[in-house]
Amino acid sequence: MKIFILEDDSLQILRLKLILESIQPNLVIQTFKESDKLLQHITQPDENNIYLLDIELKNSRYGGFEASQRIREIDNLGTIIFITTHSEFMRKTYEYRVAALDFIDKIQTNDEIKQSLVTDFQLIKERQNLNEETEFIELESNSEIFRIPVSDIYFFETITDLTKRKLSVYTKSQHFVVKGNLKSIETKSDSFIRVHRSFVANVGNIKKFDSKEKKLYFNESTYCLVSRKNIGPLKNILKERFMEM
Amino acid sequence: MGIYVFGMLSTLIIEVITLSYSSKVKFDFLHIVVFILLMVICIPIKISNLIMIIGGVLITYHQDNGRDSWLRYIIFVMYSFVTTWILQVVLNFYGNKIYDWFNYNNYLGTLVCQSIIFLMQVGIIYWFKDSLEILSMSDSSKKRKMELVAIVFLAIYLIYGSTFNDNYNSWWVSIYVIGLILFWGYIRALALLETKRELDELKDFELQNIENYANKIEEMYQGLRRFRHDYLNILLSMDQAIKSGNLELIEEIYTKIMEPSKEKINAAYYDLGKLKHVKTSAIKSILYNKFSYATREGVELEIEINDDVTIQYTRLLDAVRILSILLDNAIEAALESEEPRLLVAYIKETDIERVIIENSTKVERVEIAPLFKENYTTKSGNRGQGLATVKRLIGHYPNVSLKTSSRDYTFTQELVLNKEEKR
Repeated sequence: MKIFILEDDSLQILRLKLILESIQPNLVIQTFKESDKLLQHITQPDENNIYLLDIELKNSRYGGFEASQRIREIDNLGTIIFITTHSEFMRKTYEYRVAALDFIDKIQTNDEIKQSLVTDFQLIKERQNLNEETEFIELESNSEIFRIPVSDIYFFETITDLTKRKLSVYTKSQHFVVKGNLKSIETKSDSFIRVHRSFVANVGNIKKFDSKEKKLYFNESTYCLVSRKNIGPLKNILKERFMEM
Repeated sequence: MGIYVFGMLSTLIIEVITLSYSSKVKFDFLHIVVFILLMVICIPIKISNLIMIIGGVLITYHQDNGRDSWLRYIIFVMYSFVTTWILQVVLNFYGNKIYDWFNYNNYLGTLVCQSIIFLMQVGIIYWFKDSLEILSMSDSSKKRKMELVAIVFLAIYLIYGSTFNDNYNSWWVSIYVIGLILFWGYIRALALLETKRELDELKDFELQNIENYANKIEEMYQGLRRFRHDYLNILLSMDQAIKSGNLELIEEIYTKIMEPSKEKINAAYYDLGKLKHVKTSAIKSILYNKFSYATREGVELEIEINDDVTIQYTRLLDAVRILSILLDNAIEAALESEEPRLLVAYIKETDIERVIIENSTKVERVEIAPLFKENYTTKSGNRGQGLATVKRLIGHYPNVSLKTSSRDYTFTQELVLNKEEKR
């Protein structure tokens, strides 16, 4: 991990360095008092880069925010964390604009700040591990592209609208609408199968199949429908899967 | 015989398309075959109209897996079938008078008549789409009444139609035409009245809240003045203390200054000032109303609105409805959680805008799929009904979408609005 600090107060820099060293003694830490100098030192995207930015800088009220946007133009993999005073928090806005991971309040004690940083570092590690071993699927909506682990997906449902081709996606923790049709979705992963005229299910996440009610459960209250002609093939697939397990 | 079969088949096609278009149920090949079989069976039977309708309701119910209520299937099937028959009778009657080929006794006449009826049916539903939507969303007792009126009306027509099947005269046909126009007029008028009532309610609500908001701003201003006054006093005594060189006194005064600035509750209180960016007063009042309710109930509030907010993607009434349902849900769910939190953010980028409403939840992860089911209710209140409404409202706007997520004791609704729909 390589850490870049943008902070114009020497005392605060010293404090942050102490905290960081107490987390992990041999970290590579570079400190900058102006955003231009910091930007000169970034050359390429690296998921090991961590930027700790203050928001209010000497010459500019929102210097840290501006810097974060410019960092993102070069490095879209590194992690951005703002360390600032609470009144300047814009948590959501910068989560979306520059994918900021966290806002940490300067006024807190050293221990509290340390705790926040430790949690953040763990999260970064978890994300890096996830990226290496997981099968992802890319889904496109009107405005953005979602990258979702296949193992999170429960099922896809067509939207009842005669004119447009859209799909509802239900995952373990999300629900949203994307472009596309069931035919093309079905081919995107081996674990996706068509179970109904308007549903494609992820077999990997099936918890229970109620063949009487023709409902396929992903947990107690989330289910999709199965049409009669698909009951037989589905039962075979489920049997095979349970045999493997 | 050939003309007869051609007429029957094309009528069935018109009826099924009208039914599918109005009820939003798509029929697959199998169900259409059943429809055709039903029609073939009905040819020699006397009360074929009634049997067609009963059969039609059953087929529609089966095709749609019974997702909607029986009453609605009955209305949609009766509507599509009965109006098609009436239009046929009317067209046949008047057509015959204009040209001698303009009736159902030859291929050309049948083709022309059926095409006209097809266009009329599709056109009428297109024209009435908004009205039906408004009515289906209004409160349930009125909806029930309206549905019953529709059924009674269509039933009278059905009986009327099958009694006087053979010998039409201009008097009977005129009653048909007038009745249909009255029926459509009734629906249209109901919808207009409903919209007007809602707009009036919104106006009242707006006036009331804008006044409260103005009072609040004044109160905030007084608060700031008091703070400034206190602050100056503290700085003065600090000045004295430093001059005297008494370290203990300096420390004491310093902690006194630091204490209030650590308090975050105050910040949220002044966050209400961020509503100045909201340029549409109806939206401002709805936000103010919900925010002040939330703070009163002890919800920790965070507002991030740093760009001007105007409503440009949806009708105002829809925007108000969507926002109030989402905010009500969020506050209600937050209040059930251990540490109630509500965050509302408005993020504007070049060609995309986001409205984010986030609340704390009692359980780590809420199951999302059931929330969107029609008629779903949680133990406290009517949350599911609301979300199904939101989903339907958003369905009107191709450039608006909703993303829902729930993790880490946090429930997030994200409304995404984009300038232009990319196809």
